Amino acid sequence: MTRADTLVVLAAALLVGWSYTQFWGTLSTPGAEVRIVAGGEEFARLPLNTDTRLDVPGPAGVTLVEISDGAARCARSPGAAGICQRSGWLREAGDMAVSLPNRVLIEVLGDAETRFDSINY
Amino acid sequence: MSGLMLLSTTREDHLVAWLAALAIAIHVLESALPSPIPGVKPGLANVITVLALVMFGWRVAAWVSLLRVLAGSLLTGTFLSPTFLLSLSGAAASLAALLVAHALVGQRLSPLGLCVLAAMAHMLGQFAIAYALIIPHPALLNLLPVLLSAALLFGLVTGTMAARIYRQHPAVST
Repeated sequence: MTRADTLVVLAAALLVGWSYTQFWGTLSTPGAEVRIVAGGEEFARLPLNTDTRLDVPGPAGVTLVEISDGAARCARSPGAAGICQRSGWLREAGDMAVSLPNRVLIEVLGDAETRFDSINY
Repeated sequence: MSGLMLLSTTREDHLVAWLAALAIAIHVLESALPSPIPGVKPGLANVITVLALVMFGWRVAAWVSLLRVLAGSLLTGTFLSPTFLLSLSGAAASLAALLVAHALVGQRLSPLGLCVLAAMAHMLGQFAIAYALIIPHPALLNLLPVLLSAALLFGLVTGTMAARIYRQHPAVST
């Protein structure tokens, strides 16, 4: 192992260490606001830093949206499959939960590009 | 006169063909290995590229690396797919890093250092293309520390292999 090798390995190790502090230290792009759409129209737009609970009425019943600790979630929804609740806490820009039976969409807004949510090939 | 065309091949052509065949075989064998995270692979074919560089120069190394990506993708059925794009961008980035490092410091970097450098450049080039073109979502960045750690680890492994092989076959120049 030459001196130049040692330098390269050290630089690589520093880069690895830096990447952990950079990308694992904080969440990459926390969302600032959550938008709730009911029946195709915006129902509410709430800041994520204020804990609150909000009932959103829809054709199937009432969807309960909860905001806590800088994240929003669908706490209760009339849909039988529970898909809206299973989206969990929505924290980052682009995260969303949808209740199709109740026609409710909960979406975190932010600056990040959110063109795709998944790609298969 | 008879329409028969003879291709004249040089010694370097034969060398490139042999080394590329070896690298392609390693590439195809490695693609059969299961991987816990997409993008994490030992990159054993890297050993061939680095040895080609230190033993026979940058032209042979560049040919071997690019032929390996092309023929390897044809054999594994990923030609022109996103996988091929990532493989090509990784190979191009690691080749560029190797050529620059070799031109700047020459023999002062042993195959070990070159392999680590190539592995890191491969991962960064591949990740840049993946982030720019395939999955432009900030969540992908959370994967980068893991990918870079794997690149460093496998760079050290392939580098150790390359250094041991190089010690048994001292430099040949063409």
